[in-house]
Amino acid sequence: MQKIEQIYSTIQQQINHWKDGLTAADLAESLHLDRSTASRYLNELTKSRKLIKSGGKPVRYWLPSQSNTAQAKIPAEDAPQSGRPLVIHFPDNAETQYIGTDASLKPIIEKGMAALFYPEQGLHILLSGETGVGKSYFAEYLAKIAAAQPWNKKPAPFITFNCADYAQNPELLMGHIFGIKKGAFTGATADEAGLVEQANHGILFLDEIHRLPPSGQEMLFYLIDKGLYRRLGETSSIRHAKLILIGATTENLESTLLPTLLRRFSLKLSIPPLRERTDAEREDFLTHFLKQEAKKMKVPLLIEDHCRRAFLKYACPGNIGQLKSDIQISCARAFMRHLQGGTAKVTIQSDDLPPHVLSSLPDNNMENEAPHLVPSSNQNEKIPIQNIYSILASMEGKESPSSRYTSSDQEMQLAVNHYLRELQSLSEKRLESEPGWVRFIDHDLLDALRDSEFYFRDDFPFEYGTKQLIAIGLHLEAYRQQSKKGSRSPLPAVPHAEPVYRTAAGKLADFLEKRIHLQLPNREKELLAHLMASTLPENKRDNGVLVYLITHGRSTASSMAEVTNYLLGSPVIRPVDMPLTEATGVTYKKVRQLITQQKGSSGILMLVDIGSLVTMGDALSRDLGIPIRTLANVNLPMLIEAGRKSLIPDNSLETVYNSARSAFIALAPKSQLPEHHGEKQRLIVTVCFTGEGTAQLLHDWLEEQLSAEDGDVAVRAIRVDPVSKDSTMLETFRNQYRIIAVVGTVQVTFDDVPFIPALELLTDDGHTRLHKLLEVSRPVGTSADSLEPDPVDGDQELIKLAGTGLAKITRFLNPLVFSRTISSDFNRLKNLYQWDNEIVLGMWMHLGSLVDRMIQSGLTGSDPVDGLITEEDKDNEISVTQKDRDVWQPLLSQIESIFSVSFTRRLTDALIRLGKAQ
Amino acid sequence: MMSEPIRLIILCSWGATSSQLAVQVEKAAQKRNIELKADAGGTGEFKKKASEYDVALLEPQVRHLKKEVTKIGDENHVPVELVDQRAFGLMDGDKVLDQVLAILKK
Repeated sequence: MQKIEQIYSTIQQQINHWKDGLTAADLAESLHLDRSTASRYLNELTKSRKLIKSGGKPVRYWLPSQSNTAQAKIPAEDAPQSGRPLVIHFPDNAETQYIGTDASLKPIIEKGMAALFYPEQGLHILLSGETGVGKSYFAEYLAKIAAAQPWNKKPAPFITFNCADYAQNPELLMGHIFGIKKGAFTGATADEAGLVEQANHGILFLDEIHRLPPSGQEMLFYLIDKGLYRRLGETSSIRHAKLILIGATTENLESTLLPTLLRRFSLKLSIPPLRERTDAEREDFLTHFLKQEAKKMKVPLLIEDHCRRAFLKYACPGNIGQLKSDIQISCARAFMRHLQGGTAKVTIQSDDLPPHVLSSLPDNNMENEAPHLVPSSNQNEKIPIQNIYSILASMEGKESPSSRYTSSDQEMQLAVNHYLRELQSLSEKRLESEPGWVRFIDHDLLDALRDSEFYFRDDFPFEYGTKQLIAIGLHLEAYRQQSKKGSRSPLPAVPHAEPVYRTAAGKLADFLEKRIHLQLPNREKELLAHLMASTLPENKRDNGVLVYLITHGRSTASSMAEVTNYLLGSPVIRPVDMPLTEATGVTYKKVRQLITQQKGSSGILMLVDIGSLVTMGDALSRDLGIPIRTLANVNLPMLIEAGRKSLIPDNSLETVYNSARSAFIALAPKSQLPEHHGEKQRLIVTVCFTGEGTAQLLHDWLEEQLSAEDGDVAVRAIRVDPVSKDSTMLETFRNQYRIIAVVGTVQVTFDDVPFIPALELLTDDGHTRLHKLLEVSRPVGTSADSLEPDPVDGDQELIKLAGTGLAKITRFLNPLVFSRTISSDFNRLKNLYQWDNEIVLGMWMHLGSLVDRMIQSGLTGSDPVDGLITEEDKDNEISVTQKDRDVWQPLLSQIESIFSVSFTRRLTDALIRLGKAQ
Repeated sequence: MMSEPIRLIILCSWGATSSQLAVQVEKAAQKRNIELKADAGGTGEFKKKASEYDVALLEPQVRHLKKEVTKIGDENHVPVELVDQRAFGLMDGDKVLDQVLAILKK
């Protein structure tokens, strides 16, 4: 007997122990398994329908033999109100009717309800989905159902608000949500309760929640975390509110909401777009909306059958919202005609439909009904090439009957060849860099083709991408328009393309037929095969410089490249995006792979922004043995210049590099060039309510974590008043330092300084964030290999000089060993204290001769610094902080261990003073 | 040839490197038959007996004291300059001697 069956029989025998349902933990305990194993077994049993599971957490399991109510029952101690079982009651009246309840929306409705009735307070829900999918409708529906539960006696308020309404005025927006204290800002003449107050003990629905500014998101996060909030302008009193927050957003969740807030939504539901819902549901929607309109008109409403079919089929990117408004528009037109013509009924005809709705109809349905045909959605745009069908038609017309089967076939053949070439060159030219080409292709066709790329990219044994899509799209668009007109000249027989392409074309044709009901005759398929086959390879230049653009951010590089490629009309810039969460190593691999796939370049120019990317090129160059130059701080003028120069294959890497570099300087006004001096010291502030506990812990932890490159960063622990959140200390720090982050347990709202919660810091995420913040704020020149070669050369020469000099004056010290010992740490000090080369030399020699003396005194037993440090030394006025000592310590320890000497505190301090005096 | 030896003082912090450099300069002077006496010291010493010197040179690591030292030098008509960086790095007595002679010619 299999293990799983043993477990199943155990459960069957012992089920009475678990009347309230069985959890993975129960099973684990009873069978001495670990919890995750137990959970896996339970899931398997559920899959094979031997068990039934409940929603909510912890998940509970029942045998199907247990009664129906028991399945959906949540154990007594968890029940929302006085031990009532949670059986969701769907009231059967029109007001709560909701299309899709028993099909595509069923799972999310169940999840949503489970969240609302989760014990104690309920869980917060975040809805996402394309525009028009009915997010607010869904929220409303949840609220209605919740209110309709028979045991839910107290009517809970349901407050909805669209954050986009006040998005232009964040203050007003926040005031509206949280309330306003009189005098909080000009015009706040009275205390005002906010939506939060109104929604207390109920549900607050915030649509387009991503429009809330970060500070507002933080306040929300605090509210749902602690149940506390303040009205705008209030400092002393804290208000309590208990509510379920339902947020909705159309945007990508991760990029628009603060991670702290995002995590507070225990349930994230994605509402499917119209195209993913069932046909029956779409039909329901149509019927529903038509009924609504009919009710308003108070006149019988009819719709012609082909119009109905058009509504059911057309690509509707705006989802239900668009469907509704398209229906309304059509109804309004039909109603107008009814008024003018005095008919008894309103009839929706094809004339009434918006063109994009109508265009989805297969042509044969229109033949008898439509007096004039509405072409594609782009009436004013001409497809930028001649239509092959009209060409063929005109040729046919001219022909004499006698030559029909001889020369004309050849001519037509030529015409088709010409057409193919034209399409290909057009797609070469246009590429993805010019989004304009999509204008010429109808939405449904375009969507289908784009999806086909996704489906077939890996399937087809050749490269299948945008270039072919453009060519195919333009051709099929012409084909469809021609078909609509009815007069269709048959394509001449085209010679067969390679079998691989013919197979691929067949697949694509099937795909298109299924997807958009586009039926292609065999000759069209042959043409598709040709269009797929003869597209030139991605990059036909086999020499010339390649330009890569690699920057931080989800789409910065892509966007910049898009602009440049568009301007240059050629895909010369190859973008690589490095999302902030991506490790440098991953990006490195991506770039490496791209480069290795692209053989035969005469060199690579990498344009990057900051940080670790600056040195990536060198590493790649060593790794791959390809000449690579890097330019940091990339901007658009540089990119365009680099792209322009790289278009000429004869230009060398140096030429491209130099033009791009001069574009950087030439176009930046002097006043905007970075200042290298007078940069404030960087600071990380740690905060907590006492300034001692957590803040101190974080302080120590951070100091440990900071790498040598960030040796200049100071860390300070401070106390934040629990009530006033007073940040005067921070203000003071801000004047003295450049604060790069505030870390701690108390959320401090501080304009331009990012806050990292302590917990987050200790997880990978926060650590990465801090890491990045440190990296991007590093002063110029601190990063180990900066772009400017000169100072590095200077340094090396200095070290040579000092080595020679020291060799002359030292008796015991080996200058070479000394140089090896101190050089990296010394470089750090140099950057930190901003020593110039002359000072570096002075300090280097000074330290060298000092160590020489110390070795000597170790041998002779004399005091190495006897009489060396004079008390009246002016440097004495300079204070030595622990921070300074910490900075010097690694260097001194190194020397101590290598040369067996020891630095006294006095000596150390004197050295530090000398270094700081510069 | 001068009747009196040239009196040079090289200033650094704690007199560590300067005494070595002073030796190098003296050696170079000897080779060229120039009478030169080079001392090394901190700024305190220079303050006490500035008038005894013809030239004062500062090493790079005490560059920040130049203003103060120049003031003392001016009071006692002693020209003050920074040691040539390269010469200092190489502990090149010859070069420093050249620098001293050049200063005195001015």
